[in-house]
Amino acid sequence: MRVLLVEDTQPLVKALRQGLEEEGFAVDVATDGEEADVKCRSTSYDVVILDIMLPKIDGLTLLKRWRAAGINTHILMLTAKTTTGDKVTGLDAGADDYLAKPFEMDELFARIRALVRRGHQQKDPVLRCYDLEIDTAARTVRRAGQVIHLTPREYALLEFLAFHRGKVVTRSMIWEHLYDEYDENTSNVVDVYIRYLRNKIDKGFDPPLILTRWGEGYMLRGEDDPPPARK
Amino acid sequence: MRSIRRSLLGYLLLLLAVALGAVGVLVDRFAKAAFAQREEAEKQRIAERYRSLAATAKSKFHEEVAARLKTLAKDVQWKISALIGIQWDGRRPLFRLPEAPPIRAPDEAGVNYRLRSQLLPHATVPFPAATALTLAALEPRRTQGQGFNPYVYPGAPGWVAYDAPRMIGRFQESLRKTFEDDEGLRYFQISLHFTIPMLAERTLVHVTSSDLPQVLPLEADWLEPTAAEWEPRFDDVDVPGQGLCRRGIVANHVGRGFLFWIWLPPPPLPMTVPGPPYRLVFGRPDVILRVAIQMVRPYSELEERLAADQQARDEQILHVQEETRRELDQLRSRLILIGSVTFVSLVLGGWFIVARGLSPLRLLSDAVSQVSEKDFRLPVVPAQLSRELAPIHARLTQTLTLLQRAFAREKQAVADISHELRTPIASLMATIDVALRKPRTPEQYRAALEECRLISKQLGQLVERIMTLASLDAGKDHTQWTQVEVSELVNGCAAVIRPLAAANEIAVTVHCERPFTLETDAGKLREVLMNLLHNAVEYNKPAGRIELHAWRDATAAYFEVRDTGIGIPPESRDKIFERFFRADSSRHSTGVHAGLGLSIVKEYLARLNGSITLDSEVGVGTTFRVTLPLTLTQGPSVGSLRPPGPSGRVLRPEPVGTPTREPATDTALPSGS
Repeated sequence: MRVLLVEDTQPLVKALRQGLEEEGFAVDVATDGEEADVKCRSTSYDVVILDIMLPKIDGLTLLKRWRAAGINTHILMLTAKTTTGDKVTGLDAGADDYLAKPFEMDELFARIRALVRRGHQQKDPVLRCYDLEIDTAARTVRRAGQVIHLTPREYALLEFLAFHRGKVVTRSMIWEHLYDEYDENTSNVVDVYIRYLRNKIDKGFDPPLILTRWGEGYMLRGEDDPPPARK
Repeated sequence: MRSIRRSLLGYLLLLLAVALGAVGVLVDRFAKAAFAQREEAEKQRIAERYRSLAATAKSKFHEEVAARLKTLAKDVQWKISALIGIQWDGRRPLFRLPEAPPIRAPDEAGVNYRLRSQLLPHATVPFPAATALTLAALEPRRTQGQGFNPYVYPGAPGWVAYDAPRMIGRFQESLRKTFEDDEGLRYFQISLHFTIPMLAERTLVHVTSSDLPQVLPLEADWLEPTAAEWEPRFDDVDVPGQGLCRRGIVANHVGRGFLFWIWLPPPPLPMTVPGPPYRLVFGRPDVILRVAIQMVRPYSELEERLAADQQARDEQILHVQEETRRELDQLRSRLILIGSVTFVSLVLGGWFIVARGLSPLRLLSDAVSQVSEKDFRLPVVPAQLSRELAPIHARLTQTLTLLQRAFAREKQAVADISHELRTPIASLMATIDVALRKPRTPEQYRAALEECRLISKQLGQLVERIMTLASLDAGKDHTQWTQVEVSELVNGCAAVIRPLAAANEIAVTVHCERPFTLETDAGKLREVLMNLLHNAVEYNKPAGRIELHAWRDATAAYFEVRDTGIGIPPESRDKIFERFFRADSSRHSTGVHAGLGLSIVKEYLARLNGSITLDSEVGVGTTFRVTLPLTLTQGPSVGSLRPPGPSGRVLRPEPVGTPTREPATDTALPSGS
């Protein structure tokens, strides 16, 4: 999941970036309003973490502009303005969530995850596909009751596929949502991670869940996909 | 707490009660006096009528007494006349005889009488012979040969000797029979006073009516002859058993000399008397009778007669008194009723009037009670209030406006401060949270701790500045005026800022042509310059320049800090001295000012009687010029000159340890490292 962090306080940016990345998010940072505007318009983020008191363009103005421009990215206001009036203003301006500083890291992560789920019309924190269970809250994966250990990036890839279950996701989509602006885009990095994931998810289980659509991308097997033809 | 309405009403009612009471008492008193006067007049009229009635009754009573007396007197007169046998009206004696001789003490056995009889010229009438002269002689009807045998020497005047004692008894008996038995006669007394000159005797007998218990007293002079015979005299006499009585008295003499016919029997002597056997003899009786008739009548009869009138009078007086009292009571009850009605109506009316009079106050009070921290407007216009309340309204509106501004400022300042404090705390917490999320290497922990230390340091400096401003706001700060060597101070400041500037590749140059001294507060001036220099570094471009000028003219000392920074857009120039304003908050190379530096500068300059101007061009640079007057060497006290801060008091006036301490410790540390 790719997150845009719009925040002008350097120590906070540093800490948040580290924490989010360790949670498996791809993090882009914007330290002022203009930068945030450019990045948000150019990239489809899963969640934008937006401060209000920003240099150049303040967060509320940004939010209104984006909503007016039809950008429906989930936006979480993370700000030192704590009064109810501020919260109401923020939510009315189009924010999806509002979190006041200082905050608990876990709460922030939980709220981001909730926003991500909401983006995929998913209420249940546990994603299921056949006998595969992905607990997005605990970030654990089981198949047939057996715990499968995944690296954060593998997990993020699986989660992304699971959110788009039954639909083809292209490599560029995967790229866009799983890698931040600083990652180098090498052509086969997605394929490599798919292979890793297959080794852990599908190897020794039946049916194989990660399907390859040749020339398009990958998908997680949906309910109505035909079972694989036995060769 | 006292209610105006109640107290006003209370005073009003008190006043009213006093006035009503006074009026009531006065009216009552006047009415009482008038009624008393009327009553007295009425009583007097009744008494007067009664008096006249009583007087009439009394005179009538007296007249009745007089009439009775007269009647009785006539009867007695008639009776005595009958007894004596002569026409006697008492007033006109046929002729007057010489006065009766003075009565001397009676001598024994009528010696004197005898002597005088013997002196008679013609005959000696022996005393026993006198018995022959009976009263029958005085009764013409009975004189015909019935024992009438007076011995009178014929032809000679002489004494007619009556048988006096017997005659007295007869008179008394006759009169008693005649009058005492008369039922119609009451309260009379007939006193017969017999004087027998011959015997020098006086006898007084009374015929007294049975209803008189005893003999009425009789004054001696009534027994003496007077000029006014038969003239009734009246007096009041106290009769035992009858009380005070009216008495009428008439008195007269009977038995002075008179002529009468005497049958002369043939004398025993052998002498012949020619002529008829009787002849008119002028005789002188030997008894002189004086009659006093008294008629009394007890006043009790008058009183009885008047009793009804008296009772009527008393009843009338009582009635008048009753009437007066009743009218007075009526008047009083009316007064009380009027007073009560007035009082009650004025209580109600007063309540209403006071409420009406106080309604503007209530309107104002309601309006004031609607004022809250959310809405400072007074929801009432002066036209709705009374003229007296207009100043209050104006003052209140003014105060509320000021209060609203102060409140807004304070709210903004609190919001600003909380915002400024929350961000570093959030950074701190986020850093720690991230570090603690999973096991890390010692180097990572160390990096996190150093990050935390940096944030804490910035937080501390921020708090320090806020405290400084709060202390300035609280007026805790005192200016210490000393002679300051300007060039030393300027060079010192430059020396402090140079390392930080050097870290940003900024050159600092100082221009202080002539050394001079200035009387000011060195700490504050240094703080001002350091803040300006700090801003110059912070907002400068890399490899920029900073120039610090100091000079003076005749009136003032000038300090100028010129940088080659980003410049300040014209719309922000007024705002940069406000608290928490930052021209470009993306600059966090030091991150400690939080928009407070220029606020502090402004506050300090206000205390130093100085001013600051700025000249800036966006993208080229900014020049701040500080002007400190030379003439005002002894500045007035801080408090009087200090203008109200742009922001309300934001923190409790916690005394800052050294508010004027060396700014170098705040700013010299290259925090951007």
